[in-house]
Amino acid sequence: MKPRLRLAAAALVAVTLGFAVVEFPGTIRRLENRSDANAALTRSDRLIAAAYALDFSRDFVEEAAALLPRDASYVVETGPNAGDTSGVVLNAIQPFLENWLLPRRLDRGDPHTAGWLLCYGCDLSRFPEARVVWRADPGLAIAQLAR
Amino acid sequence: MSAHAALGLVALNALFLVAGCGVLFAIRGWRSWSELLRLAGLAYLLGVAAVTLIETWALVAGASAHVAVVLAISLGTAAAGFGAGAVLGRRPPRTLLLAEPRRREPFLWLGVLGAGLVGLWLAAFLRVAQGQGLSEYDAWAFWTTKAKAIYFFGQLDPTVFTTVYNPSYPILVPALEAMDFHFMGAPDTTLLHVQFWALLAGFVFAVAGLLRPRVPLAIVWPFLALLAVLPGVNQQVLAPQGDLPLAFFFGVGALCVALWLLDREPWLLLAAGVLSAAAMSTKREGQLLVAGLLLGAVVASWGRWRRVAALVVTLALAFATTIPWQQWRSRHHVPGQFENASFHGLGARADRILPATHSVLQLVFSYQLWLVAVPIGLAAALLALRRGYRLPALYALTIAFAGAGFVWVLWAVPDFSTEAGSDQNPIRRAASSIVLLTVALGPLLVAQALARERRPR
Repeated sequence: MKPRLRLAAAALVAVTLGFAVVEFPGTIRRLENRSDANAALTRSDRLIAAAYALDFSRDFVEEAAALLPRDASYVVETGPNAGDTSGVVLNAIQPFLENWLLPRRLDRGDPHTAGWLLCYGCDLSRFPEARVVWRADPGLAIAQLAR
Repeated sequence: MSAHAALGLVALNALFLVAGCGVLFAIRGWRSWSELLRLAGLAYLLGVAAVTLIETWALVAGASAHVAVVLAISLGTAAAGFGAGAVLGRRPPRTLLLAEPRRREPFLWLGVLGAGLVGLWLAAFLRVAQGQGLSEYDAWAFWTTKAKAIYFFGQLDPTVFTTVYNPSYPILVPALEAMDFHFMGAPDTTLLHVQFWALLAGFVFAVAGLLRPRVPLAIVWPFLALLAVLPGVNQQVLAPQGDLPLAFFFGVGALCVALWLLDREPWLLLAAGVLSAAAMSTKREGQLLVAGLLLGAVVASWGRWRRVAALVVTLALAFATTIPWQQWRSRHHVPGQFENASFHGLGARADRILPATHSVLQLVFSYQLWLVAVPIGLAAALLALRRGYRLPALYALTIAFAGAGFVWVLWAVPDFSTEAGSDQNPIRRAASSIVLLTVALGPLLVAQALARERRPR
């Protein structure tokens, strides 16, 4: 019985290494593809990789970072006016911008108390005090809110 | 990637290693420099665990993660460790190598082949890590958001930490990432992926180093080579979030417990305590996993009550390290995700038990994610059972208890999906801890099954 036990244990090691050897070329190929895909992106593209993954406007996120001062506070408003942007993407925009725009502060309270409005398909008429400083189709706008 | 940022990251990880060497010197010491080299992976993970844990307490106390603070913590940890070791009578060794009798290494070429595959894999992954963009949803939705908030605001800013997604999650990973940003000189979320590569390398060398005296290379490295080809590991390992760091701390901590059951060396239990503390401060699942490990180890130590007591005290102390963060949460009214997991609520959701169980089993045994890793581990446990029950019991029961914990999570939190393929099912990522436990303990189980029986004198 004992030699059979040792044989089974040795077979288990062989199976383990066998899986590793068989799967290894494919694993390395996939890593090389990832590495090549990374190399094809510029440094600034890598920083907004999520925008590529979820396909929301790169211009919007880059303009927001360029226009808002580092001590600004802002609100993110989304809505149905952003063309065929999906609900999943609309839900993802706020957490992405919160990360991307730090140290600017996302204001989750009354939208009218923030300094800036980041509108991704929202209804701009709800913000009559807004002074639009950047606009793009479909329904994207960055506006300063008069306080 | 700027040279300054890369150098900063290297410097921080060197500090982790120095601090970890201090911890290792305090709890164990080393007889030769080659022995320290063998345990360098473990020392590195102990350093990450100790320094980052202390940093989380510092953050809760209102301190920052600035370079000066991290230097003080890591050099202080190292100095305290070396000082404690000296008080305990440990001395630095004078020899490079120990004069030990030559060991038989059967089928050495298998070990060399496995190690070669792992080396190539780590090199390929380092190339990926250097240019990886921040594309993982949870990583940018809250993990690195918290880290950047610590970096920019110099503290746990309540306006961010009470409102961001998953505010109740422990903060070890955000603290680690914030330290990275300070050492890089900027919140470089691309280079940050290299930190997670370093944790992976630390795990590989910690497992290899811990197993080296007991288990032949021809058994250790095939298991580590299997780790290299697991699709789930390859998908998740660089993501700057908590899942794989949790699996690293838990896997190596559990290996220390297993070796402690066999060798009865107290330092192994102390190392397990430090790593378990880090696991519990990495993700909430860490508490479930460590509880599973404790229950498995209690059964495996059945009848040896002094050992059981030592184990319970060590892991209770490890749990106590999470209290400062829980107090911060309570002070700032941050609810947990299990607030509505009352008996009444659980009863009302009893229809989720079966789908949750099915989902956990599917995800732990998923061929698409983990190939045959867990079946191989269970087969090894079954074979090892013929030589003694303690080690197989530790492995199998830890998995069973942790799996039951995962079922409870899916059952208790209705926001989570019980669909195995859903992104809203957290067990898809949490299962990595069970898989890495298998990679760490598998070689030990096989070695037990292969051990020659001692002839009675």
